[in-house]
Amino acid sequence: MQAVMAILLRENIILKRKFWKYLASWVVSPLLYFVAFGWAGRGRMVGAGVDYAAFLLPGLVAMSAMTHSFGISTEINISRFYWKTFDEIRTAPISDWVYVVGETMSGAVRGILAACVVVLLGLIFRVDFALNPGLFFAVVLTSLVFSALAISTAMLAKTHADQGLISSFIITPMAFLCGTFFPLGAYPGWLRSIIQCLPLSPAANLVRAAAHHQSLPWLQALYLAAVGGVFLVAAMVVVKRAKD
Amino acid sequence: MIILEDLVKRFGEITAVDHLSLHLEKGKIHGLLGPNGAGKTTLVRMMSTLTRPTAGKAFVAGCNVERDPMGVKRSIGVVHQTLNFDPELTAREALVVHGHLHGMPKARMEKRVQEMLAFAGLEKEANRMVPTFSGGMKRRLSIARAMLHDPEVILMDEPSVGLDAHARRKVWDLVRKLREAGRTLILTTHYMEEAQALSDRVIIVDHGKVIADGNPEGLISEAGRVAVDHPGHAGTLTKFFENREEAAQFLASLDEPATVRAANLEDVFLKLTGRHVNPKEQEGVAANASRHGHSAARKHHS
Ligand SMILES: Nc1ncnc2c1ncn2[C@@H]1O[C@H](COP(=O)(O)OP(=O)(O)OP(=O)(O)O)[C@@H](O)[C@H]1O
Ligand SMILES: [Mg+2]
Repeated sequence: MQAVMAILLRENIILKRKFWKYLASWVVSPLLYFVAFGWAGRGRMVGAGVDYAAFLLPGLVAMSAMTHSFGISTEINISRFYWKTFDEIRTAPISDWVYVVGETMSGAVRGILAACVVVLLGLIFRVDFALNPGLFFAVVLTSLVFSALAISTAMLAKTHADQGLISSFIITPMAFLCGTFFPLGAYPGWLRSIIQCLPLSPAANLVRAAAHHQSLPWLQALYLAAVGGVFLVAAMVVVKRAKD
Repeated sequence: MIILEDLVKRFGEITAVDHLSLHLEKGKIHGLLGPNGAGKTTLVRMMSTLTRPTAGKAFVAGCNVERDPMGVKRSIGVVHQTLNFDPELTAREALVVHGHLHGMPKARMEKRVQEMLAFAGLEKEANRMVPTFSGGMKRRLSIARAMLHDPEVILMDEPSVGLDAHARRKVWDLVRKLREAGRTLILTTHYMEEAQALSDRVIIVDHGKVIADGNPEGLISEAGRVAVDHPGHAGTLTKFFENREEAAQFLASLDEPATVRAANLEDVFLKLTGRHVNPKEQEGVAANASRHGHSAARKHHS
């Protein structure tokens, strides 16, 4: 437990030192999407009488939680390839799971904070949505899942450039497809089925349900958690193999 | 304390460590000496569980590096060849994170952090960000960090590389203090004076193999205590003699001016391999001296 805290402590000191840079990155893209899509689509109705801004906000919350918790992979990569601090962790008597859990939690902290910033933006823009424990649960789960994924990809990436490539192949498509910006209704059935399997879809659905006072789709929560479990196991395996 | 049995490490086509066996004793400074690419780092990384051996066995403090890496990690402190610090941390924070990673109880850790900062002469700089440190300060911090959890075995990969003479002495002082405290040290270097000044036992490695092993004095006297450098047709040649009298006789037979000096570990390496440990610093000399080195060796055995 102390070792998990050590990993977290290290990441949190880094987070604290670079806080303003982080905060800026958490604010910029949701703000941009908000202005570009939210404002333009203001007053337009989506589905059953939901204002577009109210539809968009939960999507952005889920997307930010995903993007910024996944961002830990970049941190891990820079530490590993540029600062070489991974060796320092590898020579400490901590097990692989301690490392994986510690980094997953560190990534999740970033995702949760980024999601909170979007919620704050929503309040500032007076978007109609509910703040409740369900929303918080959805954000925490989403952040944990993508942060676990980040660790696997960070270990698989052989260079920092690989990491960028992985992001644009995994994260960017999900960000745009998984019901974040628009409802899935317009897509053909087969594409919709595929999209619904991508982990950001249940994440966005969870956040949206909570934000819109609906009961949480527990089956989707379970699916998301299971995917997270798979990511965790994968992370363990690749961390174990990250020796030369 | 450390047992290596027929250890091999291959990276694809390259054999970095080639059927190497060693027994290293408790409480001594072992100098691992060899040119670039000799396999020193690979050896240290295998001992510190960072690299898996291709074949053979390695035991550190009684634990097998492959079967019980956790046991090994509990008993070692590592000074890595590359300085590896988080750029966002202060010196103190770097030590505290290390202490937590090694499961140190809080009170003991706080005391040790203070002690190690003093040991490395970095008390005043404790709260400065590590990137603002000079290379020498980072090295000292790196040693302090490796020592923090008070490991039995300390593995140092080129602890004084890139340091000026003054900073290097400081590092040497730290290393000697560790031996006084009864720690077992393995120190890789390609600085001859360093190996000679610090080591109780020098292990010369080349192409992943041990080519000489013994105390520095012994190795030097085996090669011939006195060296004579004299100009040859294509550069400086070096010849070795057991004593000054023999060297004087040779000098008398020379027409050109020559230098008589005490032989050192560099000469030992030169005699064994026909090459210099640091070829860049000795460019041009190596190839010529080599032929002569071998003939000198033969002479001695006859
Ligand atoms: N990860 C790796 N992949 C491929 N080859 C490697 C790897 N690590 C080391 N080698 C090779 O193994 C050999 C030994 O390298 P090593 O770093 O152990 O040498 P060294 O004695 O520490 O050298 P130096 O004095 O330059 O630090 C070299 O030929 C090197 O190219
Ligand atoms: Mg090396």
